[in-house]
Amino acid sequence: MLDPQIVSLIRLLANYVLLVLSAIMCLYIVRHFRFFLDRMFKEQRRCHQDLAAAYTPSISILIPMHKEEKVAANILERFVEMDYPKGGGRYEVIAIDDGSTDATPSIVDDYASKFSFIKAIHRTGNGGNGKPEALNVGLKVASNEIVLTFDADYLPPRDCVRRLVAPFSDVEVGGVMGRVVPVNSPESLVTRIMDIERAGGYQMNQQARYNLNLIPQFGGTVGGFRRSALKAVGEFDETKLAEDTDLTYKLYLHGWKVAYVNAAECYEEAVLSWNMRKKQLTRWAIGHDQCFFEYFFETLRSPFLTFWQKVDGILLLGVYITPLLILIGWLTGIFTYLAGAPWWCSFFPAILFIFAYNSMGSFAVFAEAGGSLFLDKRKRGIWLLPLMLLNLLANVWVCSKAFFQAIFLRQRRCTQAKPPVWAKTQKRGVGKDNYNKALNNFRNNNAHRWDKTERSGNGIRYYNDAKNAEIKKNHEKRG
Amino acid sequence: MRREVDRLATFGYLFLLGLFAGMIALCFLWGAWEYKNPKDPGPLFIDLDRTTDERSEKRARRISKAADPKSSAHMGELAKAGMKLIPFASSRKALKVPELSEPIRWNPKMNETVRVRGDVRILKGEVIPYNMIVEGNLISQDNVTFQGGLKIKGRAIIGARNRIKKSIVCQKELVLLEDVIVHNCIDCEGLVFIKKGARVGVGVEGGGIASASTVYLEKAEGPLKIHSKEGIRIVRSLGEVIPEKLKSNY
Repeated sequence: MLDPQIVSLIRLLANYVLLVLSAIMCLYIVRHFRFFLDRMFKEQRRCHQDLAAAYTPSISILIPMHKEEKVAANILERFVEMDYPKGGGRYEVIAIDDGSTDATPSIVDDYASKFSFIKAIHRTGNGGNGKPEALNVGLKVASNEIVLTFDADYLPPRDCVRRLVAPFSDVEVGGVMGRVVPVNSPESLVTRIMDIERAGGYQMNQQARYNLNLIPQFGGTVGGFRRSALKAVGEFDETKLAEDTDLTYKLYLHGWKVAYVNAAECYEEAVLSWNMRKKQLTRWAIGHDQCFFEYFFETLRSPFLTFWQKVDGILLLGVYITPLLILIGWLTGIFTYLAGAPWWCSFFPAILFIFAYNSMGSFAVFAEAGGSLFLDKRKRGIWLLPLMLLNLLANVWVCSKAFFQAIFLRQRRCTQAKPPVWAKTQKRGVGKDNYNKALNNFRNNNAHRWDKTERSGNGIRYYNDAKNAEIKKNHEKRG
Repeated sequence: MRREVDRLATFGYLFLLGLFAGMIALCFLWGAWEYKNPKDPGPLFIDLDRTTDERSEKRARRISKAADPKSSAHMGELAKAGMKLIPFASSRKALKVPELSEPIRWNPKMNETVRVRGDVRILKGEVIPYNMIVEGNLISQDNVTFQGGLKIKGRAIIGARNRIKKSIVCQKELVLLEDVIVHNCIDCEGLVFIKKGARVGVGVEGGGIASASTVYLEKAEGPLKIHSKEGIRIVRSLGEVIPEKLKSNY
């Protein structure tokens, strides 16, 4: 049996842990409700959208593709139909076939031969190592200052590029982000939940962050950046699994801003199954956690960020760590319940309700998702909100695991890539290589290579169904 | 008696527990119902052929009038309307701006872009080879050439015959004096005052003027589009409408 004093000490410690976790979660509650209130009841900022019709700078659009035969033609067709002046090299679409072994190369070549503004890049030898690497290759070919990126499964409307480009009239804007909307939401329970999550994340969260002049995030697709800004902060970091978050922080820490354009909506194909969702979430969580370790202190020290931007920046860096905190909170909560409260329990119950409120991962997030469905005039979709608890359970497990994987990656990097400065032992300079090897093994073993996100290619079909429904609804309205 | 009370307490406890569990289950019931019999299966409809979008613009701070021909003004035509030109008022109660209130702080990582903390006045004939972000007010004297764009977080007075090779974004009032040429766009949160001969959007990339407030035109040339939340006013002289605080000592 344990010494009663030790038990008492553990009990006290557990209660303090619970207190700290509740305090952190309270910060997230305040943050999300602030976003909710701002988005629901305040006027909204539109980033230079009045100029969208008039301002058309030269642009390059990068579309990395890896085994995308089901969707490659769809997206290239969208860019052929895009409402943007295409003459004089001002509009350039670069399709990067990143080591595909299916029909993607021939589809890309076919479009490149038909349209002079489409360029095809084929990576055959060393392709397929992930999106950042493919983007860096594409950037070497891109010839314009403004660069937009789209994933291959996306279906942008004709005005999307104009809307994304307009914010670059502001010289302080280094990156821009549009809104992502799942097109295949009727396909499965996962896609429907993803649909709600995406609505909350963009319609509410990103727009509010932009309104409040906080840290809207560049999401790596349906977005773009200034090439000179990227050059100034370095290329896409190929060792990061979330190159978008990495770029967002690099831009902010060097004085640039990221603009969010809610009107630049674009369809995507959401993942279909829990298994695919797990892989996607793991990649995002590890990448985000990598950025947390790298930019936490830099964000606090940055001379370019305001106080509230720093607060938001830190909370944003920690979003994929909160599921782990929730898990710790659950376990500690059970322990303290069984072990009994300490002497200061007289004021502890006052905060218990906050903990209970947070125990489902902060209901403020649910308020955000519900609010965004309301703004999208999809009130019936709010009925699905409780099912998002399934997503929370998945997040708790996957993100907690991902946190430790990110620590492992960082550890490998620290021990192998950075020799101690005082050591006189001659170094072979293979640290970075070893780290990259470890990273590649890790990617292979954990299926983080981006080809694992399978596309059903049903996006167009779902879009046509939605369009017919919309036409029918309008017809009925007119009587 | 005691057993009776215990039984009642147990029953009450179970009742409350059942009620609580039922309420939780009810939440999921709605979700399961909607999932099985969807009335809103999605997706959120986006017209892929669209060029404007009401959903996003309805609650916007600025209402775009791009599609409304009444909101576009051809400045050449306005000039032909025969507005009388009165010299710009030269009040000495000015927006007093030092030549450089603080030394320019270069951010070496921001290629081609310089950030100025505080107010700045740019002297006659200077050529500024980079984009400028001014975290205060800006006054430029005559014949200044900006090779890049301008972002001004305070007020700005752009001197006569200045050339701006990119865009101007201003968060407060903006005054363009005679014959200013802006190659791309002007986006301003405050009032915009434009004197005769100014041309905007002459570059190949196109451009126009957007304002969250009123745009005052004295006399100008060149075709351009103006989107203004509170409208466009043509005045005989900017001196009549310009606020005292903007009557510069420039």
